[in-house]
Amino acid sequence: MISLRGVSKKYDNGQLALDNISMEIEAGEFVFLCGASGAGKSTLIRLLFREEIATDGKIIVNGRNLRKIKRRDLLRHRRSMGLVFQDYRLLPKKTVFANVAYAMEVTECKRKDIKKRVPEILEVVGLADKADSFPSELSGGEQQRVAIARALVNRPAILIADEPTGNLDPQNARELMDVLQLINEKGTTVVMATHAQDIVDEMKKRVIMLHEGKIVYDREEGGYDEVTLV
Amino acid sequence: MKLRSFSRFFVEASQSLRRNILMTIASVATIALTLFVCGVFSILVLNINKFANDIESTVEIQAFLEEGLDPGAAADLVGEIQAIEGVESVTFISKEEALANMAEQLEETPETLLSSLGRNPLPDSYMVTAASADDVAPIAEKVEALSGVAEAQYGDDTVDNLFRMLKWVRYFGIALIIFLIIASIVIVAFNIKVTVASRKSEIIIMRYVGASNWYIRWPFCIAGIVMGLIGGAIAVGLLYGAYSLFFDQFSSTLVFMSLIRINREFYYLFAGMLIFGVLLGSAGSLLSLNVYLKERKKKM
Repeated sequence: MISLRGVSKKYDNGQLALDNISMEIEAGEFVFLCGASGAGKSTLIRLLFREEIATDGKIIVNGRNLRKIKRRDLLRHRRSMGLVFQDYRLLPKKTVFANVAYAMEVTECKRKDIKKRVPEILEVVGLADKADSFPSELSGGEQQRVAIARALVNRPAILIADEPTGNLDPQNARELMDVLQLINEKGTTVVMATHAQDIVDEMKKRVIMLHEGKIVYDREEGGYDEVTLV
Repeated sequence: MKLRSFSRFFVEASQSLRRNILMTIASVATIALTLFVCGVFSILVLNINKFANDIESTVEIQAFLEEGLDPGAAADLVGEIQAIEGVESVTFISKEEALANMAEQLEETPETLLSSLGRNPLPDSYMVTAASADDVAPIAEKVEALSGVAEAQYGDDTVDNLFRMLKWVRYFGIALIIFLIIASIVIVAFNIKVTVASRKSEIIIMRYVGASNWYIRWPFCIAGIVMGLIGGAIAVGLLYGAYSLFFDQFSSTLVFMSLIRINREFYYLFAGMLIFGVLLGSAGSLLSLNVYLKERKKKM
């Protein structure tokens, strides 16, 4: 599903954010991208979303070579991914329902489909009873679940979450992980960038550890070792 | 792009125009000013062109006779002039009649004019009418060659001067209009940029959830088009009103030239101004948004 071969990313300022990394992620996997700030996690996410292009190497997502992707396919590629960020990025003046529906509106879905699909996905993330609330009326964990619902409402094949528990207390973080686990069980590939060691250790999922742009280790049912290995 | 999305674009466009009402007013005013100035220059050029054409199409030549020419010789000239090919009629205008005509144009009596001038400086003359405007120049040349004729005048000098003036009016107009076009695009672009910045988070989210660039652009583009249309309509209204007023005031008093009435050419001009307004508005918005979408790509 996601394949990286010898991928490097060097920024204009000379900083080498990713240094010759290769990995394969299969459909339906749950993968943690770990590492401290500046390890290259966010750069990797930007490359996968094709916000940026790798300096070297080849990235294939869902059979599309991201270097050669055409404009029309780029939109399809982006729609095949759901993105979740640490700071939720919800629209404060819209209700929970409207925030989630927004993702379907901008991709020009039919109103009928929106009315049917949004309650379904709110049910999945456990917010069916909060549809009419505004983001300011929700806890951080709930806001992040709205963001997840929005990312998933268009049924992407891959969910990419960049530090989704970064602003949450342990209880809310755990609940959020339950939601991500559930989504993964329903068939969505989940790639989550984090440096929350306790969560990674507890989940026992594959861990790809990055340090200074290189993959330090890639373990099935991994656990989080500090980069003492280097 | 699906049709149902457009109702949404219009709502968003009107919201953003109202949210930045001062910037919107500034943009509309600049577009209106630009188009108004374009319109004024166009009308000026149209009128000068018409004036030049009017002069070119006159068939009258004024042959001034030499001072002190005896009446017999002057009378003989009629026959000589009439013998020239292409001449239709010859009318004698005595120096007294010429003075009376001049006095009438200046709304004075011949006596007061004479007392202020001391003596009548105008010579006797013949008003020669050519059968066609094409014959005017050769006839004037032949008339001037006749003995007893001091000078034969027709519109050529005036036409030359007019065309020279027209050229400068055009240069000046084009320079001013280019300046104003740039100013309006910059101001519209700035306006849209402010709107875009105020909706930054929404645009970022749109991109995350897979909105196409055009889906993001349309509301801003519509806002630009609406500003262009309003600016255009204001400019057309002002120009129509101002020219009608000018026409009513001056068409009867401007004896030396006749003004163009508001005719079909004007309606083409008005339509052109509206279209130009739309182009200015959309150019401004697309320009600012393109820059912005590219920036976002880098910073996201």
